[in-house]
Amino acid sequence: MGYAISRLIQVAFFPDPDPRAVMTVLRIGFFWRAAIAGYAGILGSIGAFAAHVRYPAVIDRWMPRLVIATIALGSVQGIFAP
Amino acid sequence: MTLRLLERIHGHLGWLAALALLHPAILLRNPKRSARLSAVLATLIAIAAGSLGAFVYPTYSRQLRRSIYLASKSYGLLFERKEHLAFLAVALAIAGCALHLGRGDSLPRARAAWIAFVASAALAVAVATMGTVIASFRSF
Repeated sequence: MGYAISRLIQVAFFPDPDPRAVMTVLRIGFFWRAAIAGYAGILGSIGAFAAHVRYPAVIDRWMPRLVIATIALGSVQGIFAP
Repeated sequence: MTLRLLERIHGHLGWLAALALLHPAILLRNPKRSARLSAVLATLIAIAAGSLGAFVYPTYSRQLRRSIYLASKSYGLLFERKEHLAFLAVALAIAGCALHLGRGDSLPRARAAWIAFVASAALAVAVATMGTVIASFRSF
């Protein structure tokens, strides 16, 4: 989800230049997004683990929905906001 | 020459990952079924394919991206879509593997792992197809 959200923010507020108008790139946006997603994912996992210790049944019940939401958001972003 | 070889290996690993991810996606349909080895190996192959793609990516970005866009904007955008969906496929494989390994007796976690592997396998097939189309259009 972190990857899709960071890309959607980038597309909406900080759009990339047209690749046809750029001779070469110094910064690889994909790596930055992957790093942000990894960081957010690790923090989210720690939070989810802590919440699971306290409310195991609730977190378990929401897990399939969270996976489906991630699939939906990631797919929509990947297809419609490349 | 080396980049061309790495690109080919990346493509073949991508198809292998797509096929490997189908295995846990089928096996874990039964929530009581354990498929630890299948889940771990499929995830490792997906990570290997993604890592090799990430290794080649900076060179692609500097040498090929512009020429692909100049030749056809739709192929350029297809590559961008492939990159985003590939990241999602690998992330879902890792999530599915972690959920399966840590599922214990929880049926919702087993179901979440199965959903993650099904989506990862479907995305991996789509990504491998897109990659083949783009590589046949323009390559190193």
